[in-house]
Amino acid sequence: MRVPTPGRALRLVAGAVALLLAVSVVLFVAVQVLPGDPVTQALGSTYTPERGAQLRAQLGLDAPVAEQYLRWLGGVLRGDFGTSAVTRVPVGPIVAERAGNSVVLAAAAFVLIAVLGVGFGLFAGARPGSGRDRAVSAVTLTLTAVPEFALATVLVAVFAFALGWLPAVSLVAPGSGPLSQPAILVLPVASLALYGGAYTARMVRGIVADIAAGPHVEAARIAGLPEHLVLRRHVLPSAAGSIAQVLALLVPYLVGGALVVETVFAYPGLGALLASAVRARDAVQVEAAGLVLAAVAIAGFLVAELIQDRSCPGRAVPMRPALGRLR
Amino acid sequence: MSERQMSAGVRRRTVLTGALAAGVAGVAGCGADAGAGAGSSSPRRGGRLRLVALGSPTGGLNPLTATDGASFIAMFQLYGQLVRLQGDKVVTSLAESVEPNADATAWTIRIRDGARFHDGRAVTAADVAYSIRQFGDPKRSSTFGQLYADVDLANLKVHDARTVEVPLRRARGDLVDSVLAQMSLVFPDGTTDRDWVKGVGSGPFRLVSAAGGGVTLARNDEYWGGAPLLDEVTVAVVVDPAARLNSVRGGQADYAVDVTPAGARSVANSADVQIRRGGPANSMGRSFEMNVQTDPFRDADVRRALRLLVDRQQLVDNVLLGQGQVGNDLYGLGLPGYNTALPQRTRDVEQARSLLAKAGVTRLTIKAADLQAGTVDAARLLAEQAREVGLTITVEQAPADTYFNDYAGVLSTPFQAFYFINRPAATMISTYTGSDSSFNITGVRGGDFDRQLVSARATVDDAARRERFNELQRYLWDSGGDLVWGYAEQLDAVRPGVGGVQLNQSVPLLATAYLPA
Repeated sequence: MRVPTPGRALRLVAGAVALLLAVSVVLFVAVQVLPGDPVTQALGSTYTPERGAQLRAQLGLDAPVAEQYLRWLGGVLRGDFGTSAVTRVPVGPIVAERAGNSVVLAAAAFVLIAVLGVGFGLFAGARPGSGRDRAVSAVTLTLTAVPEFALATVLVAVFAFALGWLPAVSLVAPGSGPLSQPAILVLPVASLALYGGAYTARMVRGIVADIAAGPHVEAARIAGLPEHLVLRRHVLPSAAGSIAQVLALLVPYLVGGALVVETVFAYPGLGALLASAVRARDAVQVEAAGLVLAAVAIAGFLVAELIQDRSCPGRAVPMRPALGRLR
Repeated sequence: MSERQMSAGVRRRTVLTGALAAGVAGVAGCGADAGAGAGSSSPRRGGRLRLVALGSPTGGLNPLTATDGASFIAMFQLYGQLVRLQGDKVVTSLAESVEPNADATAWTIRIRDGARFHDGRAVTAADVAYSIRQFGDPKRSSTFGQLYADVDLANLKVHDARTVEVPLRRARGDLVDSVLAQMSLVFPDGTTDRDWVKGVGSGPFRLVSAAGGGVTLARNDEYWGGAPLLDEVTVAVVVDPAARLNSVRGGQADYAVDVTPAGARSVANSADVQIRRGGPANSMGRSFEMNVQTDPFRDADVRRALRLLVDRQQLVDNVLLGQGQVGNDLYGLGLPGYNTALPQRTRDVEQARSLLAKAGVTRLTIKAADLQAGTVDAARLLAEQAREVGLTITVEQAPADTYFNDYAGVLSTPFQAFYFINRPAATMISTYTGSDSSFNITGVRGGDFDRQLVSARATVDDAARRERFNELQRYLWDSGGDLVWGYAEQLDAVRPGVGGVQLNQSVPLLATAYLPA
């Protein structure tokens, strides 16, 4: 493994920052052109052009878009995400609170996905084509074919309603966090982890299977090295970088998956906040929540990129199982 | 009971309404109060009621600007109201009486003795005057400014600690029903935007905390109507209706406001959750709106034909999955002032066919967007029903998100599928018909109608005014542009045994609510 040159690392970081800036522009413009504006939404059938103009002026939506953007960006750089035009409340505190809740959910899911995904991936990939490989592949393929919300619905029906073991929704008592009631985390985490874990297992299996079929591994086996030593000395060192990259790419997945899972379980995270803000046409909140989610996703990509540099420059990690056969 | 004696003025109104409503009760089945109050167990003192509703995680507690359900539910427990709707009656609450002068150009509000804000201050006339001024100022309250447009804010007079005079720009005999019953929360004099977070009112519950996505309230032992039974209430925002239903079904909440008809049907046999129907008093009126200023709806026969060809029960059964009431082309069913003397219009295919033949109409286009779930389905079903009389109706589907962006277009659309929150007839007619209306989508206005509406609103005597509004309703029933086919009742999911909840235009009031023993 090589350490990326400081220049290369800096370039990557600078690229990520530029990307985030571009995302912020796209986000801001997208919110402006989103069908339906907060004013017509808020007034509904009581809307009149006069009342609309009045509310628009009240909300500061009558300034040019560029001016609104720069004012907003300036605020974000100072740590001020602005005041919601719809609710007249600063959005910073709620975004921070919700981000914290999302981190708890995502971190728990990440650990579970890493353990299950890498474990089953190694188990299956070390013996490509074996019975255990085929069994793992069949199960993971099935799980990755089912969307998260469907998985979540089945989990609720079974574990909340039929068995009554776990809460059906993840309501957090006002003012407390999800860790004060860990039971509410189980089903959302399981929904994320089943899909994510299956996906990761397929990726890891692909990486490991390729290496396991390589001549040096074959040589070690012919030499009579015990299987666990073959894995530890010859397979894992070559696979580690690629696996780490797969794990880093889970971050953007968890950002997106949280959107679905948080809505189904009414989990008070950033994804649910974004969804309800879009619904309410609350531009400032959409921008704040969207920017934080984008920053986390980009950070995940950046880490994956840096890891790729370290492990094997110029070698791409498979993005999907179908591309799993490496050159 | 929490509501004490009613004022002479309001009592008179209430008795009349009650008499008229006796007929409705048979049609409407159980009213909201009966439905929501009929718990299966005896009242229990204490405990925490956990309520979930649609809303914004940062909805706030500012009644002037709030638009989301969860915030209003919290605010209606915190801030007292002058008067409120109870089923089909208007009852006084924080007001002891609300009396008009001889020509209804000024009203005098007398405030109940002994009502106190949560911080210990007495509720005075100055607080009421301040609250009305805030609601009436369109710069402060974009939501309610229009409702209070006839109030002469500059000349509000505080006579003494408990009396405030409300002068009007024009006579309104219907001020109590049409304005105060819609919105009359009272907050302390001088409340500014910084103070809303404290939620200081005189309601049955006081604010403990308002954190992201949730509000915690505690019993107000000093409440003038007697301390509530519950110790605490939490109001949590849950955006997804399926998740709201699941929260009660799974035992994480006791009361979920507004679930879908499909969801309600899915738990019909569940022992863990009951569905309480709000009745027409807490419903969305669903309609097809015909604009009488446009062709071919200028011809009253075409409007009549459509009202006769529609199969209302089939629409209620299919679109609302049976969880609603059939409409009679008027808004306001189950609420004060509804004309119950008019016969229920039923399907008459033959007459519809001959009216259409006479008018020479064979094709129509209806605009429909899913402003409410199933709006487009309703229009399609109408088209299907119309085929039976040889009328071809084309459904032109529009996106719901941008429906109101073309405001002028909505007002001039000849035929569209629509909805209104069901409000008292006088309010609906005053707001949505006549030349003064800023949202008149049926185009009923001008000449005699305007004169009759203005004079009905100005009539001071309750019985006489009600008669005038009954006449207006008869005219609209006969010649208006609304084809109100049904009322989609609010469906709340409730933990069995929870009772005493009263609905006030779809907002649950929890002063008398209790948990199962």
